Amino acid sequence: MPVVVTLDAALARRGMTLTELSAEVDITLANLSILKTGKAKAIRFSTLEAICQVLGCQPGDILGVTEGEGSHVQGLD
Amino acid sequence: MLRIARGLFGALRLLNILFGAIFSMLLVLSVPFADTLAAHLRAKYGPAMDVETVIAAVRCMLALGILAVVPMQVLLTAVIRMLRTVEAGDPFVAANAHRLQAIGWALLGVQLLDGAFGVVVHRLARTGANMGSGWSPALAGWMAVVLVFVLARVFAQGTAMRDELEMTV
Repeated sequence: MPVVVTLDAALARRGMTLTELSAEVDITLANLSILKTGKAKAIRFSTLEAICQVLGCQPGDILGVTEGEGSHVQGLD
Repeated sequence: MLRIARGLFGALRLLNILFGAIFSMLLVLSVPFADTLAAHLRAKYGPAMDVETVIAAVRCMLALGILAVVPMQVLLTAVIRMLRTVEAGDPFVAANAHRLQAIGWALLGVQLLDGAFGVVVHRLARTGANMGSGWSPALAGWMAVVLVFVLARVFAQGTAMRDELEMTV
């Protein structure tokens, strides 16, 4: 069961860019890109907390689990 | 410092090949010069000396020396390649874990050959030939074998953990 990252949708709801989020949460743009494109193997709770605080959301709003092989990124279909 | 170390190991690798060539040459020459060698041994130790055994033992030692070139070459090459990754700034790669294992096997090979060498020295000593300080088992060498295998496992685990951490956000 792959984990799906829906950071794009959450950013769109807030009208925020990835660069702005990077500045707010003090996480590099490179790492946020890795997360957004589904290449991350793991996410720290501290990262999740920082993102959710800035976006005003819950972890379930940016992470989900779907059936099927391999992970994919929603919003790119 | 690393460059010096790499140069040193490179020089040792060349010396290793050189010694292999010298041992090979001596082994080949021991055939046509066997009578000369036997005469020299009889002159030194007296007519009662079992020169055939001594010559056979010397040939065994040369053959063991030639065989030792292979694991030593594996070991020295692996160390040089590991040093290159350190110079490149990232030694914690899976290839280095495999190289450490290769070093472990090479050291084991050297220890086994050393054991065989000890058997030959023991046999040679019984003929009355002067063996200098003789041979004793290299316990440190055997410990080094175990240590390197353990280190290889630790390195492999550490590299896997590092790889996982690399994609952790």
